[in-house]
Amino acid sequence: MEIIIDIEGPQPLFSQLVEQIKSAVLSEEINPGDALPSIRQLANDLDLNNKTVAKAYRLLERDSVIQTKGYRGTYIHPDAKKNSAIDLNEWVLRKLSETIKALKGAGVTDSEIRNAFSTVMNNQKN
Amino acid sequence: MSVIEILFYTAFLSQIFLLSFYFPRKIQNRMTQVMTDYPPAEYPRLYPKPIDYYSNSHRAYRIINQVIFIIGLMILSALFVWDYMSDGLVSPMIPWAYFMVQMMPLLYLELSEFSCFKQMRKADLPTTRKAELIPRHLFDVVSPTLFTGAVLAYIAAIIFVLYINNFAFYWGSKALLTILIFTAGNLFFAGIIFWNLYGKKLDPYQTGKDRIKLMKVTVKSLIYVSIGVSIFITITQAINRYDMDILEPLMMSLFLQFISLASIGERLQTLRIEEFDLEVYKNDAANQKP
Repeated sequence: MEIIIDIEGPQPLFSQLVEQIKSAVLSEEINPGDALPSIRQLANDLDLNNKTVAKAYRLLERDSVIQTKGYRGTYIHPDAKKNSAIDLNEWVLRKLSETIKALKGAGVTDSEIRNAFSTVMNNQKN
Repeated sequence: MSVIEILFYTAFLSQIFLLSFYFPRKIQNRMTQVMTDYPPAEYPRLYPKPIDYYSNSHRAYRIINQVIFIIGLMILSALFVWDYMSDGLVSPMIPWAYFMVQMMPLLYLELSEFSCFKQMRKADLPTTRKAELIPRHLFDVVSPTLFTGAVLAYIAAIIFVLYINNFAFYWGSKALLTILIFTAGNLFFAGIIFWNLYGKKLDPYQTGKDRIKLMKVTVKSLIYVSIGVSIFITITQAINRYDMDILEPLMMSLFLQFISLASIGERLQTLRIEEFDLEVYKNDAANQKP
């Protein structure tokens, strides 16, 4: 299984990695229990920053597509196929669209929504 | 002239011939073969520097080796004519120091290669990069038996050093110093192996398969060298212990030839240019980093 990254593509590099690993799981090119390369190996092979690959792996782990087994390495999650079908980004966009639609329906302006969004995000960080 | 003297002179002559004539000629033939079979016009990415640079490098490599070959013969003649061997004046450092000089042309080639890879990466403007989604482990590139053999040889050599030194293992003792130097050498090999397995790819065009091929040969050579070092340490300790110092220069020369055969020889023997995918260096190759 080969990963191909387009460094000039519009999609962020970590996102390209996440998508390709998910597609590989869905097309059964990689299967539950298969080992993945270490962050350092993949980053060096693709000539990327370690942090980019680490971010992709973190997101895949959050989505239960991969699982890290301590020093033994990173493996494809047993439920990876089912979990790869779930598109969290699409879900976020749908939820936000519904909320914004409701807010606009109540007469809230765009700038008020933006300000409120920033405030809520900042509060979440703190 | 004693048998040991004859053996030393033969071994030293063999060292001169092997490292300053045989290997350089093989390497040079290979460089010429690359330039003939994969010409710059068809494979421009293989030559990131002006073509003159390569012909000059090849010429310099040949001349330096010829000079070193002549120096070697002069050293051998001097040792022979003035009969230094029977006076016990031949230090094992002579074959060692000469070996270091013999390695200089290779170092020059390695540095030139690094500089070419650097140039390749600078000139390279690919938009896509590829990598295999398969983890690499030590035993993917070397057999567990060979690796275990190297570890056992290392342990055996340490036990032997301690035994020869009556287990006198304290700060400043000869045994400790030998073990420290020996271990540092092995750690250095381990570092190179790790860098080969997980480090950055120097050649931006090299395919994954070719990279693994090179890795296998490099790691195998290093393991052979490590075993060679363990055997050499064991033999030299025994030589010192039983006052057979006259054997030291002979052993040193044989050891240096062994590590050269295990590294340079193994590389030349195993890696064939035709087995590498050099199509990636063509200009019409896809604008991709393999």
